[in-house]
Amino acid sequence: MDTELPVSESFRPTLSGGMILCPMLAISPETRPPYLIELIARTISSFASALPLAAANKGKNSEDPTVEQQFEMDPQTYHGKLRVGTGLGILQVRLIPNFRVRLFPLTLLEFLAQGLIDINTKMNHLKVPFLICHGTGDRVTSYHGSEKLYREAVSTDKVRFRLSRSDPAIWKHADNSTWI
Amino acid sequence: MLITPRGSEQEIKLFPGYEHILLRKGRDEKDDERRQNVLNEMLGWMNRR
Repeated sequence: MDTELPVSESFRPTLSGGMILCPMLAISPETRPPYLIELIARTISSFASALPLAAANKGKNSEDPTVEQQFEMDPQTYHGKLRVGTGLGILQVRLIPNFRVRLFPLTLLEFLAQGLIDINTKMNHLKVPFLICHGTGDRVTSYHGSEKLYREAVSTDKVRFRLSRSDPAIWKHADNSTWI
Repeated sequence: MLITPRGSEQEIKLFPGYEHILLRKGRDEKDDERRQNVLNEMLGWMNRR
């Protein structure tokens, strides 16, 4: 745990470590709905949050077809499409308050998973021991999110700089090879 | 692909080609191989703690 951070900023302060299996830190391109669908969901979320809209991860949960068959036969699981409110909840996109509908209310950058962006900014707070296991063929959660979590968490340099190539003061001291 | 130093506090294990880390029991030894691979990684990590 990062004890230098306020409790509200920390990850589960009582957690002493854990094994993390295919965390949803990034959504695989095969599962993430097209931007237009996300935009529609955002627009109608105030009055139709229960509407099943996106196929999302249906049929992509396992390479083993029997897993999908068992899932479909289980009467206690939801078999429909991903509901608008659920999908936006995963992304933690702000819902429109007071039934006020705004068309095209967000820029593309704002809309691209504010929730995932938020958690991605806090990855370096995770300082407990952990093991992340992820399959590279995962069609639902991308293993690149796990790679990023690992990189951020193990990094000892928590300070980020955004450098500009146009700044002559930086070029005086920076070797060209340091740019990524 | 990332390579984790063994014995470090934080590790990542990527399983090439695995779609989902399901820990369901396999129908036979071959079918259970993937689960055993994941379990072995988990046990190894715990033993190194």
